Amino acid sequence: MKMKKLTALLLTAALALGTLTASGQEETPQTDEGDYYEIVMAVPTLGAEPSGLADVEAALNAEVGPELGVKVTMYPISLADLYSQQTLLVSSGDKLDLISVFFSGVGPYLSMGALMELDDLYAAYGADIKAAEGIAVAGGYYNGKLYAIPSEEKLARSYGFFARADILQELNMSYDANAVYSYDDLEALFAAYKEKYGDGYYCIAGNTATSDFYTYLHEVDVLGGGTSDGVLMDGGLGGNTTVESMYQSEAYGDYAQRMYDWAQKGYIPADAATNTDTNTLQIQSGYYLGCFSSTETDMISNMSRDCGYEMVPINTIAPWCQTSMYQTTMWGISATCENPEKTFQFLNYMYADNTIDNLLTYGLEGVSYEVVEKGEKDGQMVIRYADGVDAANTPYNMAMHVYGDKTTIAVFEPMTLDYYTMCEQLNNSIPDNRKSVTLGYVFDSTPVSSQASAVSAVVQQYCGLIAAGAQNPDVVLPEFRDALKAAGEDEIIAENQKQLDAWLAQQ
Amino acid sequence: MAAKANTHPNGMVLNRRKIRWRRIIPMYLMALPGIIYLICNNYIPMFGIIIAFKKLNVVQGFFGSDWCGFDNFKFLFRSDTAFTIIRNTVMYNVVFIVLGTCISIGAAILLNEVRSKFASRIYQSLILLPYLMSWVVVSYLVYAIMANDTGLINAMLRAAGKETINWYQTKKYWPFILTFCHIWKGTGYSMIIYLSSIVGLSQDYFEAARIDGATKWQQIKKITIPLLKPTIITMFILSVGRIFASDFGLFYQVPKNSGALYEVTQTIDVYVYNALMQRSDYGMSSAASVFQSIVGFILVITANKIVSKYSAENALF
Repeated sequence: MKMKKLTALLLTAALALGTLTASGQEETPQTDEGDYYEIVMAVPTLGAEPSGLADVEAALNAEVGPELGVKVTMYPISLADLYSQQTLLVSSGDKLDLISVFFSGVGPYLSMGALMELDDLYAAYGADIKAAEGIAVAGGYYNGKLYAIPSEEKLARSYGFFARADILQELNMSYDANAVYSYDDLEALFAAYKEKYGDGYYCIAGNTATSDFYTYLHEVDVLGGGTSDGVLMDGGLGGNTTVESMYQSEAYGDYAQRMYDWAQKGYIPADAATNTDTNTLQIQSGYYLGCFSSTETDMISNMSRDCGYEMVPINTIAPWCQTSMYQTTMWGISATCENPEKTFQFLNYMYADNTIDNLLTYGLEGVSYEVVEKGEKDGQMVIRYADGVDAANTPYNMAMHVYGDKTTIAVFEPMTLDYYTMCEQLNNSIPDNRKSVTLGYVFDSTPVSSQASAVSAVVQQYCGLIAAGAQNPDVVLPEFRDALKAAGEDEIIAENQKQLDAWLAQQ
Repeated sequence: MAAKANTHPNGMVLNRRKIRWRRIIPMYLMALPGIIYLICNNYIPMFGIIIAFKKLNVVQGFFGSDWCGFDNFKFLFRSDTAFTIIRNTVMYNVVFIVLGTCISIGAAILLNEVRSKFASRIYQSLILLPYLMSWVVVSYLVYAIMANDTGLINAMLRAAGKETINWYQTKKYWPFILTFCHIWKGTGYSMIIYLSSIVGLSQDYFEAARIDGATKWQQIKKITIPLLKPTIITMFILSVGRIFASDFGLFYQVPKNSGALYEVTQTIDVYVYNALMQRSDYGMSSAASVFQSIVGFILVITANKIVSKYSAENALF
């Protein structure tokens, strides 16, 4: 017994020592490049630190050092920890200048005061950003002020249903890439597919626990927030600026009914509401016809690659744009940054005509990639892995494309230079009536944060099961709507309307 | 002890104290790393509790941020879910404590009676095995049994020509499924604790009982269980402290976060996760855990008070 206690104690001691030493290993960035200002920049990774990071950092500094008088330190952070680690760095007083805002929008960072206002800097030093991003800069606004710079290659998004090309051919059905199809068109396809393939084969693959198909079938302007905080039901395209609840609307009720109907007919599998596999993985299994997705031209090759089948888009929404489309990848400057001018100049430089966005995304030419074909503009090219390098051992290849002007960034084989033409066409052909009137407005949910949290829990509970048609909407929809009201949905919508009206008045 | 010491002459008391200290100091020295660890790991972070009452601003820092009273707690009580999640958390834990204790003790006693060393080791490992599994793995095992098309049970129902059941959409089965999963996974671990206490019981009692002609059942009822009482009570008080917290893996992974089941599967931890997943609000999440800790603390104190009333020597403090 004595022996056991001793062992236990020793183990505890070892553990304590382990924790102490582990926390002491924090790396401190070095500063000694003369008068250069040191910029610490967050670099989102998929987990492991790329082995070629130091080389890329050296190459980057060789270029920006003499040009801007800055020295950049790249600070790799795993994507999953991006938010928590960056806010922690700022709050603990560690140096971090450039914050990578990934998927979350600036809201969560601002509720903690982690970002700096950029309006003046943008006006003074933002020429290249303005040229590269255009209307996409709208994504970085909050409360009427600019807090982040988006990095967006596509200024509009179209949505639709991707179906397997081989099955469409077999069913002898074809779809015009420029037309827009309705529920009924999709239903006709589903019915034909189901009749031919029968039990065990399904039409819609979907990770429905968290997804909501409604926004793939209707233009919904989420006002820079989520579907749960109140939306413009016409996508802000028809001039109506009344903030409404998407879930209380009649159209949503029809959609719920339709999904239930589809589930009853076996178009959606009965376990869809709890399936956690990605939809591309489900399609790989061969038992699915396709899935909902955004359908810009480059998505066709992406989807075909991920699904293992050639996929054909059936558009349900023509290209259009709203603020939230530009919030995916953005850069902000931390509120504790000591030299915002220099930092912003560097940020702007990423968007200028040069190759540092390629360097930051793909690493060094000849080391991690080689050029197959060059395009018109600087940076535009088709590349492949360098000799002896592949996806597994590449010294540097960022899966997350977050740097600079992404319309002049290289693409990997088998994509071709057509990609750049596609982007240009898409970006230059958005008619004004396909742009939401609220571009640049982002709802600030801080005044109603407890309601917003409660409502988002309710949405989490019901929207997946409605998308999967898992339960009769006659029963669950009223339940869902009551729960939303009880959680304080109306207060959120009123607050959203108030902010939107104020914003509109300023425009 | 002190009272006892006072009855002795003064010199005697001093002497005794000295001896006791000399023996105890090395023990404390040995415990020192553990104590430091406990302080660093469990006590220093306690100042973080203030985040629950602040509107956190990273530039102003933890201490400089503005106070916001109980604002961060509000989201927990916004809707009628508050009642559901508290009820689920507490009720499941009550069932788990009662049933879990009974089954673990039962298993420990049975295992203790297995005479073959080899067989007993095998059984012990088998019962412990699920404890070593991650909840994610368990959730897929459950899914393999209950999936709609491909699940074991539905395949059997179909073969028997009966109506299949959509398990992940039907509330009424889940209290049983979750309880089963918890017991199946957790029994091995607590069984080992009870088993080690049983093994440590003096064989003299049992020998004497056998000589007096006591049956196995009588031995268990009259000797094993009463002697296990201190262990049971300690384990009970410890688990009462966790009564307001729930095993996130069990309640989130196993029902696959199916919205249709929330009424019977959503506990405080799952609710907090669902409500704050998109917002990542530190203030609100710490508010939730402060609330859990305070209720847990009150429950431990109360449980201990009650225990000390009935059998003072078994109370924790």
